[in-house]
Amino acid sequence: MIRPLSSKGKLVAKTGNEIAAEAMRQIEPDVVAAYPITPATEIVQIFSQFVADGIVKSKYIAVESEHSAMSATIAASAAGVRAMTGTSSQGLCFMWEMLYIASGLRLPIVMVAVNRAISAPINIHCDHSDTMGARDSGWIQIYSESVQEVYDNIIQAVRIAEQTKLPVLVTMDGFIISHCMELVEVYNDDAVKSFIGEYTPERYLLDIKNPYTLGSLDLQNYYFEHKYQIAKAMIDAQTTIVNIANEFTKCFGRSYNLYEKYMMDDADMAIVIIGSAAGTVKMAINELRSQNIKIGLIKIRVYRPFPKDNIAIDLANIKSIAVLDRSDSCSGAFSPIYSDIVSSLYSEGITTPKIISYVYGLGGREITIEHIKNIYKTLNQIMLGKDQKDCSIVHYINLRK
Amino acid sequence: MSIEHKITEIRWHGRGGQGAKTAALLFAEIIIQTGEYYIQAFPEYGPERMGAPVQAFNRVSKNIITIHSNIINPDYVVVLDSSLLESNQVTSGLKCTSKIIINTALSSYAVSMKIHFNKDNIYVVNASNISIETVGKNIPNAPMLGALIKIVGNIDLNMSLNSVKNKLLDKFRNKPEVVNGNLNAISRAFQEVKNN
Repeated sequence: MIRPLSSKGKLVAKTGNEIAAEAMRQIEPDVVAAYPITPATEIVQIFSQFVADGIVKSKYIAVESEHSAMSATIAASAAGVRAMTGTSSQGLCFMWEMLYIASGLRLPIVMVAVNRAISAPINIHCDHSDTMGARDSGWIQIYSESVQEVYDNIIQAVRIAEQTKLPVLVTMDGFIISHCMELVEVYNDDAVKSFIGEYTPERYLLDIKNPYTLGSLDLQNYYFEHKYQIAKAMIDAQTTIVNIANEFTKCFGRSYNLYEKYMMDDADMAIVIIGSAAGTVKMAINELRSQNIKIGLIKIRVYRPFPKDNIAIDLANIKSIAVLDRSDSCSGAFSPIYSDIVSSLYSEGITTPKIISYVYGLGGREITIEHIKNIYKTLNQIMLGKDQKDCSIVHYINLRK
Repeated sequence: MSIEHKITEIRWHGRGGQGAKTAALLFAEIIIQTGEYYIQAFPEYGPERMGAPVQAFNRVSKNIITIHSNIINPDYVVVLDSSLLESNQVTSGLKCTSKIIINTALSSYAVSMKIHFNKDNIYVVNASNISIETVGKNIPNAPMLGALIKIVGNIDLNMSLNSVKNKLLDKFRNKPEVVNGNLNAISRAFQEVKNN
């Protein structure tokens, strides 16, 4: 019998989009402003039905674009209430300038982003180009492997945002998770509400007794200091995120950290990945482990802030590492996760692991257990020092050249 | 349920509008009622057009399912529209132990001649006819769901009907009259699906 981990939980079958809307119902933010876009449409569709049915007291603002969605969310948050939104791909791109305003004003907004490729050519399927593009915008980024993680991450995100005063983006892979129904443990409304608590902003614009200025002109004299504060807040956020994860585990049973280590204790080789493909890698690793092959996985959950110190320590004794990015920087150099991993190691003086860069899955291109097994073969060759694959270039999985 | 492999995989074939995706979701919800299995249900998304071939998928396992890639070698294939037998997609990746359930008036033997697959593993049911008689139109997803429940085996029909009923009452809250028709369609196909 499969049982919930928590006495406050029950098992249901839901898709990623459904569970995001369910989490939002339980959080019951004061304001949700959103514009629908494939494959995130259902989130706002289901949530707006909750509003229409009077199930939540949230104010739903049906805006005419994602730019306005983020603007309205920013305004609501600045006014002093909990505000959330959700989007994907082009929608996230259209929010671009407002993303920086949300983080610059230190507003604790939570946004659910369903990962989808960016046009052109037009494509509605999953890759991480959209949120990876926003990685330097001062938003905390939390990636989800499964429907369960989408739910748990959104609940934790509310606390993380309000405690760090940084906006938080929770992602799920488009269609692969957003439209995939899985068994998921949901917690009762009271337990979720009690976990997130009441929102009491330190300062807010509608506090007319304590007026303050937000978003003013900030030139050579102070802009730099304010930007530094965001960078500092991002570093400090790591501790906050871990503390909230620990509290979450106490409340609901599931363990979370900045990243997940899978079969890493005695590993000689490792794969680093993010998002739903981590689950496929786990299954491939199970098969390889049954043949006594010492390979492990590091699944990054919190990509911003990047947990550079701990990851460097965990990868220090690995002989060969494959970093798999679901976005291509088109930079002439390397993609985001690879660059972060390599600089994390090098800055700690760790230069022994051989690290190979792979790009996979753009526009929803399939990645299978067979592909992962082929990566293992390459890692093994690299580890043994024979038939070296060129680690100085990006390699592509399942691509016709 | 007869689970021979670590993960049982199901592939649904239909045409846009026939409800293959809905059937896959309903099947997953039925399975979790047993309390014994982890599930996945997901559609294959392409350009969404009425009548275009579409696929949907299920995974069922006693262990947590972490894989998130497509299903290539299904254990069960459910075909909502017999015109899809003309393409080779229906038989793609089949193992010799796989079972196919088809909405057709033909016999298993006649279908096996057409698709060159072992007759013993081909199950037939006239789901379109059942759907017209019970729901009033040709939406074969509910009867094919009933047929799948029967062929997979060890899934309680009444539990399944209750699960579907709760879901449909929610989905069709503005037209509850369609719920009973669908439940009857499931029951009838459960009785009528056969290997002949």
